[in-house]
Amino acid sequence: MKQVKFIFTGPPGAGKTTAIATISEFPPVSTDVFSTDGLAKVKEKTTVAMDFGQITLDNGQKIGLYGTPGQQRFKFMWDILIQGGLGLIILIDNRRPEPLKDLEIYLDNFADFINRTDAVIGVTCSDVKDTPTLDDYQEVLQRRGQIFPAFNIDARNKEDVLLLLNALLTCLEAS
Amino acid sequence: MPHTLHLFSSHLSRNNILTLKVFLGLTKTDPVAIWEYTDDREKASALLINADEEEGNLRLKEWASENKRQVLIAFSSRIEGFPPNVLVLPRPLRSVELIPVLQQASKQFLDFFQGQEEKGSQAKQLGGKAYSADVDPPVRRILDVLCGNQGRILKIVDKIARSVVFDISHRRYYAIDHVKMEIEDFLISPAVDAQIEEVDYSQLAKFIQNLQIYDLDVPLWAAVLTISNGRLFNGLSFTEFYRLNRWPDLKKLGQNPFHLKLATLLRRGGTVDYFADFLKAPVGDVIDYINACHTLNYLERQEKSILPAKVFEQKPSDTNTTVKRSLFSRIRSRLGI
Repeated sequence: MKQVKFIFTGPPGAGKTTAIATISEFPPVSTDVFSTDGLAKVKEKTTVAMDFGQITLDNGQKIGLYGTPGQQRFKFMWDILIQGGLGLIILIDNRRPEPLKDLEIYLDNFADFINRTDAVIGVTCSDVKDTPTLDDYQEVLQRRGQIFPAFNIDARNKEDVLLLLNALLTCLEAS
Repeated sequence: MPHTLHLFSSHLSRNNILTLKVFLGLTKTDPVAIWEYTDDREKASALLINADEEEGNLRLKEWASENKRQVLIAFSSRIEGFPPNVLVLPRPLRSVELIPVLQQASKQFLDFFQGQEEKGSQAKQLGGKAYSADVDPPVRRILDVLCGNQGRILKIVDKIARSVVFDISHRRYYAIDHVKMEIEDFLISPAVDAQIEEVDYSQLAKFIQNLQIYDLDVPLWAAVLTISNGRLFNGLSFTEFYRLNRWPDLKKLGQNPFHLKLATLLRRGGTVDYFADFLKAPVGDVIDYINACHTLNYLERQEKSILPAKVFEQKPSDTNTTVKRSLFSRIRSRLGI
């Protein structure tokens, strides 16, 4: 039986592992290795297979919190991880050179999954680099004919991560 | 596509309420409006009051003097002696008399919103986007001036010499600290008392010396919610189809669970009564939100008459949907959201 889960995706360093750790009832099981590419300057370790966290509901049901590896070369893992997914949380690191392009990459790669479920977008590190703004992200979505909840968030802040999940659940409930 | 309107009753006997609920089912084939019973007076389009009871009669007079939106129907053995615009449903309660009265109530209720639109377009022709009021003359506020001058920079000084420079296209304003504290009050104050000056972009630096820069969206949003009062702004219509063109930054604008739900429904679009009905919420609260989204340019609008009927169809809930809703509810409970 497929486990019911939420999927966290986004480029390396966007805060997927941190966001999962913020709400998981145990520290996420990560399959991190030392970065060897350009990422090593920003991030000592990176996720190569997945992150796994969990919450247990009052009836004992386990809800998985899965983080996909950030690099596109692990795309084959994404298709496996989304099985049983309730919805997608896309985290975008605003400090990266082309965060708007990053968003489009993840929207395209998960297009089928998003069509079947729904998505929310969390923009991280906008306190470090304030452009592009949320309006810029919304313009990208508008151009693509899509409307998704998008918020500036801090992946370390539980309230912010819960805001993303709340918005995602509200979208799912209305569909 | 008929509208769904709601009827609330006051001081009716239990038997009459039960009969009324059965009779309302007869409106299901009405091409203009289907009536449903509600226990929520705020949500109702019409109020049916037993005017033969002393307390009911007093309530009718009270509501007639304060009510500007809902249609009032007196349920009585008298046919005269009621305030103007009150419809009369003669006793005893019979469908043959109830249905024509409801049809008249539908027309009165829908015409009211139509009238608001016409007032709106007249006000627009006069150069300002004034807000509608059914009996009071429209007050042109500073925020109306801002909405009517998108893309410009305005310096506005109000009657108590508070000075603010608005860069409307960039959704920001410049002011000294203590004015920031009063900015919502500033935005809803009458424009007639203010001095308004357009500032050329090349001169902006001179005008904003010693002033702080602030985000305009948050106070504008709050000001609209303060003055909206359940009435659609001029230019907006009860029968229009509304859809978001982008997601409002609800983290910045205030985390209101009702607004989050409405934003989600507005993603696929609908009419005011559809949203109210879907969320089982007062129409006035939906209207307040529509007004705020409209002011901050989050909305696309379309006349409902040109839309296919399937847009308004609700999917019947199946077992899978019920299981999912139950799961979502448990997740919410676990996460405390």
